[in-house]
Amino acid sequence: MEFFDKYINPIHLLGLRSYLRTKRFLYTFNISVLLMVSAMLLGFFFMSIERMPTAQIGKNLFMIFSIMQYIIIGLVFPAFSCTAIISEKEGKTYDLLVTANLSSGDIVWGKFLSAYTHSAMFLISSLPIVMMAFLFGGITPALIIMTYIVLFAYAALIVMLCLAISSVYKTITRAIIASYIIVIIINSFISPMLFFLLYDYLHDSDLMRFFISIGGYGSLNVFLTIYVVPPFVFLSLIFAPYLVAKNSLRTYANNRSTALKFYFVCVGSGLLAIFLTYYINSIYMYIGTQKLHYEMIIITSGFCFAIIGLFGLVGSLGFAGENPLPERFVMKRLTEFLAAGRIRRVFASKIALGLLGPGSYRGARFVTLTCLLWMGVYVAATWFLVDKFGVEDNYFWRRFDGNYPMEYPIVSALVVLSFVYFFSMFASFLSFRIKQTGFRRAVLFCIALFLLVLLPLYALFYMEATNYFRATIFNFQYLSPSLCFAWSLLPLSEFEARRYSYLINGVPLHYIGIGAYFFLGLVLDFLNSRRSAKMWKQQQQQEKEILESTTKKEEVQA
Amino acid sequence: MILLKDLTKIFGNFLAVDHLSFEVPAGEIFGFIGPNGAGKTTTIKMLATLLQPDSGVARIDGHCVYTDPEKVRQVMGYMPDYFGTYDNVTITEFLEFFARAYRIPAKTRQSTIDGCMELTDLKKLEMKLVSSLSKGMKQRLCLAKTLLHNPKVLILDEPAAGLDPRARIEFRSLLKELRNMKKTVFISSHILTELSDIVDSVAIVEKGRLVVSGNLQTISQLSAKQNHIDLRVRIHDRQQAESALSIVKETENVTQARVENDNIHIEFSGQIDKMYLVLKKLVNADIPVTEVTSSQSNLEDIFMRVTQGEVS
Repeated sequence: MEFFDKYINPIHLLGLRSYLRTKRFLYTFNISVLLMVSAMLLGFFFMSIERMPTAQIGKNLFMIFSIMQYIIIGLVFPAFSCTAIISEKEGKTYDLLVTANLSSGDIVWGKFLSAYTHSAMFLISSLPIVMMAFLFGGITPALIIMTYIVLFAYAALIVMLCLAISSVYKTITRAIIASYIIVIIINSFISPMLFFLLYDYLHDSDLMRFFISIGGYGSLNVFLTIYVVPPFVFLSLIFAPYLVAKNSLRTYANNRSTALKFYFVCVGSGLLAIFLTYYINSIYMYIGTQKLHYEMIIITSGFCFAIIGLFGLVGSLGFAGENPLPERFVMKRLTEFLAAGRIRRVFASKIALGLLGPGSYRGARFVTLTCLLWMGVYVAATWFLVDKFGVEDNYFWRRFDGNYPMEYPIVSALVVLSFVYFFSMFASFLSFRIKQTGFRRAVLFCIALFLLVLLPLYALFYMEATNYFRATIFNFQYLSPSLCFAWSLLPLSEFEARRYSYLINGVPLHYIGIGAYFFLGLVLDFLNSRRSAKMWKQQQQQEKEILESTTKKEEVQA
Repeated sequence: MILLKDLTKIFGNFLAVDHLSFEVPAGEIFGFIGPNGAGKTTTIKMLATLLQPDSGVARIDGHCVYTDPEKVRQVMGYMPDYFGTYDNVTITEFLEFFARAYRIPAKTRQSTIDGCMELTDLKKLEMKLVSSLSKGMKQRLCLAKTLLHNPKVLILDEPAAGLDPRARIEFRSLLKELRNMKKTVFISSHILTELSDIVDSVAIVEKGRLVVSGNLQTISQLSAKQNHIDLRVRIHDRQQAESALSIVKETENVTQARVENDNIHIEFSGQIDKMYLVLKKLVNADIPVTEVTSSQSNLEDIFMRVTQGEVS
């Protein structure tokens, strides 16, 4: 028991003890069970009047059960978590938790476990009710297991989302209103979608097959669509509110980055990996021995640059916009943590720690290096495909001003990378001079940038290139930061593009752009490095003064 | 044990704590005094790792509150001025929750809880629901929670606020017991008479700035040197008292003198060791002085003298 004891989250235990003793729990629990039984009995009553086949009654009862579960998830489950954190703050118990050395992660995880256990009790208590449908046939145990997996996952998302809301808002009333508005919006999109998938499955239509085949051709893609993409999407969605809640509870804003950086790398890499796997596998299965269409390279780069570029922007503002901390201070702290065994040996490499450590300057480097890594993977994958299949010299290929097939992917990668480098260093530069940018402001800035700058520019560019507005998902590359070099991408336009593509003495404009942004990035990097060193010196001086004054006082006392 | 150096906190345009610097020696009960809005709670919250200082350094047991908050929380117990409790849990369950939070091993957890309940006199109420406790009992419960991890430093923000006289006296004896246990207690309070009996040193703040800090006796002498000493000379004869008054008024450094019943109240603004000159003159004039008392500055006097009654 002692072994398990240390893994018990105290907040989880306290939440169970205090909530399960309330009358509110008793009433809510019984009323929801009663409602579900009533709905199913009522459904059965009407179906028996219509003399339906028994298998059909079973299927319909199961659907009524599913509808009721989604209603309960939307109405009851937010109540478990939407006030969980704000009530601690309003009830003046939050300070006691923080000074009891409970980390923000402990608090969020404990609150989540507590609310999720209550939710799970509601879901599990409905299991005997769904068994009523078994009496009539038409449904299988596998279907019930699958439905419960989906319900549990959906409940976890709702609970975590409301928990994040309760950590962000300043009053209980606001948190409740915001939670229910968001949950109702989500529920009105997701529940019907899940419900129709179930309906479709039960009535043998082609919708499920369509969803399965949407991932592309080949068994690997089907496997990805069914077994990899849903858990990936679920984990990405559930960790985002978790990290929002965790970071909003931190006392000091300078140490929020490590978990967010892991999330950033994992989600970005996951998206790229899934997309590239789909892409490569589709080419293998579909093209076979044919030559590669050059347009395929352009399309893939569009998706990849959109992902990398947008992650680069959000990352720059999120991590490089953090509180500034001197470089040497961060390394000193990390070394101390290592020595004290506070960081696991598996992450003990100083380079990894240095990258994941806090501070805006470190954040800027982290974002640039991550984007470099992603670009490397993309370029390597493209090189592999070009090498394996060769490139068909089609219309698109002839229009491009490159000398060899790999030139366009490499140049595009450098365009995005140079911009991310400049932008992250600029955010870090600002954070050294003004207060931190903050993650919320960063996300808002990116959305505004996307809507106000990138999208209109894209539309303008494409209109210029084709004489009519046309935006398709296959031209995603223009939505990435590379759009800041909109003119540099004009060689890709379909007519009269050459007049824009050279600046001086035949040097393509995009090369000049890459050079300019890398140069500006380097200048800012140098300035940041100097500022960081200056801050470190000031800190050292302050420490020295304190030590000296303490020693003097001790001497006087002696 | 506690060190503050140029600690500053700004809320927008409002300077709540202005370059506060002082030191609290180990094993002492340290009073942190100031009028309402002086920045006491803000300073305490920064020490308790609940607020990020804008500049300056604060260290507890050598650990910086900003860069090493986890270590600070391990050696520090914090009791806020206003705090909530969890309903529907008993006293034992409440303390068990915090014992788990402090990661006290399962083997010693129950004995630690029992020890804290004994110390705070809560043992007989252990199965009572927290929601049914009185204000005084809740204060005791919070103190018991604060002591669970055996901290070296206790930071208590207005611990006696809202308590009845009996509860205050009991709380004071509890603090003395904590001093005997060699704990450093940093206590802020408005009720100065409560503190004057138990504190060893004080820091008085006003408008976010430190006015004076140090040992209680030193501050008392320091403030006496700079200000007035209230001297009371008892003379039974009314007529002689009047003549004594005229003699006293002529003496150097006597700023004010008046007769009240059989006493002469003298305000002396010179050095303490020159006070005998007043008595010498009276004795030489054959005035029958039967009793001389000089009023000692208590914490309230010091506070009233050094503060201006302003808030930041």
